[in-house]
Amino acid sequence: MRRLGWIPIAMVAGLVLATAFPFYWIIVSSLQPESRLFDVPSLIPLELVGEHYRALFDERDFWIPIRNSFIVAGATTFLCVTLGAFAAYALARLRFRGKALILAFILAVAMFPQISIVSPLYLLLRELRLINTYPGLVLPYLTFAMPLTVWLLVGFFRQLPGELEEAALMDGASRMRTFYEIILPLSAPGLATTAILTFLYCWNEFLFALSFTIGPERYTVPVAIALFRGQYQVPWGQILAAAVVATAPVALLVLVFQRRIVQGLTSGAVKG
Amino acid sequence: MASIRLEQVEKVYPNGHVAARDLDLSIDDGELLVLVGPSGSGKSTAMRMIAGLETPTAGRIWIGERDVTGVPPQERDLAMVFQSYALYPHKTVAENLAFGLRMRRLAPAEIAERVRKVSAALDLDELLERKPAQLSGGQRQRVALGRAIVREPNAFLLDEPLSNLDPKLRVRTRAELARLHRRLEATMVYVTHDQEEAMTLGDRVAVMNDARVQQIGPPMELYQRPANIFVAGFMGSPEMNLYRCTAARRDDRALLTSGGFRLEVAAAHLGTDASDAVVAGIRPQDVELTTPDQTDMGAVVELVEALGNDALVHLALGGAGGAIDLRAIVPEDRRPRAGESVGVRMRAERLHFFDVTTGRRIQGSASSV
Amino acid sequence: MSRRERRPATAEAREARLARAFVAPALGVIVLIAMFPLAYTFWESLHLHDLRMPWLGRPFIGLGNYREAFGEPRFWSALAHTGFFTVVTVGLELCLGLALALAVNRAYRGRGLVRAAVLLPWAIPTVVAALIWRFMFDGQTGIVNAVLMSVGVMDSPLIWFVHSTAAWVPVILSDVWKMTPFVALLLLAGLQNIDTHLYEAARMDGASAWRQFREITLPLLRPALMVAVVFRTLDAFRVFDLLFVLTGGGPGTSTEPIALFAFSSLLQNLRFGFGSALSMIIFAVTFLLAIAYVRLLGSELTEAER
Repeated sequence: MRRLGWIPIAMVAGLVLATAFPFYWIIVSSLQPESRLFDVPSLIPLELVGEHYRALFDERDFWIPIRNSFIVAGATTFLCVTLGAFAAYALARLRFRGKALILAFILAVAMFPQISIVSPLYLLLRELRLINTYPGLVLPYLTFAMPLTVWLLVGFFRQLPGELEEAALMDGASRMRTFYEIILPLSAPGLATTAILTFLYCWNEFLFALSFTIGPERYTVPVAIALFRGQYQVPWGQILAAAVVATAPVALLVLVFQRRIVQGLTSGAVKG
Repeated sequence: MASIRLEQVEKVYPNGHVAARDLDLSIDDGELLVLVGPSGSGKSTAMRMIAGLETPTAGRIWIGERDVTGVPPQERDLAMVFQSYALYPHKTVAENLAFGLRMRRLAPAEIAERVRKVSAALDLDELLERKPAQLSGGQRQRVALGRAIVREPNAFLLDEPLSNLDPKLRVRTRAELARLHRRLEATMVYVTHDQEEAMTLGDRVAVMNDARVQQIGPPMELYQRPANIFVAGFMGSPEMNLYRCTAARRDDRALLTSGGFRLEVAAAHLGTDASDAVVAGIRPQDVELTTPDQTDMGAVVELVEALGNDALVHLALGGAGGAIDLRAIVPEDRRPRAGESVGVRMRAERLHFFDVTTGRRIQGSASSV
Repeated sequence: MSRRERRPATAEAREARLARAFVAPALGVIVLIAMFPLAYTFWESLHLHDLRMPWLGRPFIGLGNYREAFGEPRFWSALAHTGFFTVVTVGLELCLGLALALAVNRAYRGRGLVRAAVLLPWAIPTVVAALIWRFMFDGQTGIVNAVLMSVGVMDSPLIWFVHSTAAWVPVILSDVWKMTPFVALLLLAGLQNIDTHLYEAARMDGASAWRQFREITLPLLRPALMVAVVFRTLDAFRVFDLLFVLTGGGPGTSTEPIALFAFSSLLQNLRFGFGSALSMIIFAVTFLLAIAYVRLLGSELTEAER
């Protein structure tokens, strides 16, 4: 490897600082007492209090949006990965006509602007009386989550050596058997990464959640935070506390799975 | 064991690429047939069609008495050893061996018994609980073989099984494979690009080039009577020397000339066609070097490579500094020096003659045993 | 050729049948939940449908909504805002992302940590990112003002979100902060695919670092760059979350992107017909961009396996 000039290191350090500073700032600010928040800010906190967090959970029941987000993101991820795995395997490994077309179609749908289907989905959900319900969010989420899942999984399945499946076929295994005894176990990392990325996308989704829920009972985390209302002024303390709480699980996922996530993002996009 | 037959098999891809054409092969029960040729010749395609991994666009394939042309690979009961071995990475060696038997729904007791026998025969007993990643290349190869053997299939298909091994191991394993074939009396189809493997292993050898079988027969027949220029140049190492000559006939003699190549032969060798051009070939082992005054054809030694018992001499027929157009194998003790002028002697019965337009062997041309 | 029999390819047929069964559920879901609504939106865009005035019914008016849109100044402003936002953010993200990718590629150690740190802005909800930056740029409590004042660039706090030009600063900064890591990671993967031997050969041939960059890095990075550009452009064009939370489109509608205009027409003004037309326009532009994508990267994307 080339010698480490100081410029690259400085840039990387600068990057990490620029990335991390806002997080540091909101964590520190969320721990400031209400009175201090509207004073001149200082970089190093003088005192730390937990009143905003307490208020967040006791008064605003922030557990509810968290629960909602988990349920919706979890259900969507589960459905997408199970159905998507089959489709992705067929697209990656089996031979049939129209494969290229279907792949292009799936990619195209992944690029759909959500706004373009919000209103008919709204009307449809209203017809089915699914506004402000869990299925009423999972269903629309499938529109962007399913293509994403299939696309990612196709990338992962393609990385498996083709000769393994051929060996299994020669050994007398049916396609189904090959799929779940050879392919699935070996693509477990890819499946996990896809699940993580899909979950993240669902957790962060805003437009559909905003449009298809009405009351705080079914708000997801992004919607709940965006719609915080204060009596007299913007309740920054609680908003920031909520932001920190919303970021925590994501941060955990990213820290633990950063290598997988990067692999998943880049394997499909840039082929080696 | 079963016989295998390909009848007028052809494989043309949708984009027009012809991978195999006019394939007529029959492999007897218990025979080892080697499919040899350069990459892209169609040999792998031919094997994959036998395996069922590719479907022919025309023609039929039989295994024993059964037409299997449309039958998927799972139902052909063939065992294949892949070039990369394709061992299941997440299963132990024992599980790898047992997989095919489980798919055939054999009783667990029977499976265990067969695995035990094969493991003992291939010296895999200590490796049974390991995963492929923990094995060396040679060990993986044995497991791949074991996986095939344990199934007692109709026939074995081996796809370049030795190319991933280092050269010394290759020679040893080659011999093991030959012994295995005799012991099991197994029908085997063996694909390789190495003509040496073809010569040593095959009961019969099929040389393929350009999607077609160029010649099929016992190894020595291909070596001594190659059917065309391609087979002549492909089989045997170092390559046969080939010359595109002008033939000047007079009575029953003909004078062949091509650059520095100069030889007079009986006109009968050139066949009945009265053409004035022919391709002549002679193997390096059949070229004799002597002093310049003894023959009509002279050459200058450009380079001598010591091979141990023999020497490979590179010569320029056109004179010093010219292109190297003749190679000869001579015993070590008769090795010439670089720069030396020598005389070249070629005996007519050692020459091979080929038609200059079709490339095919001219009937009546040598060579005797 | 016709003399030879064609065998019924039963093995192939079976494989194709199984493949279709595998693909059907996922594909069915996608078609049902994405295609039908899109078709409906298109159909809706050809009607007058204002839920605040239900007595008007739902008459077919052909391209009336589209004509209204093209004649509406707010539409063109929204389009201009979106275009501006797209060009500036994608441009900045590409340049910064490339610089960072090059830097991280050289700085051998600590890659994992950097990756984790750098992924975080990308991974959090856009809403949260917007709130963070809104807080930092707040007139009273914002640290940006505090820093700028203490450094002496300003004497009194600037209320960023009240000025139509100044409001763009936090908008662009927050998007660049959030998405540059993603671009950098994409480009980094592309960089790591370049054979280092190429650089060594170039160095032995006497090429300067700039030369190497221009002749080796840039050309070989082209696929990754294209992917980054297209993904980011498509995303930037559809921007919604960020501006909804950060500025609400304001002050007034001076930072309103086209998606927000469509949203407010649909779900706030309840003008379904008109909003649908706007949605279709957004879809059309996105679709055209996506086609350009597929064309540019063609065979890589839709490569069918053996």
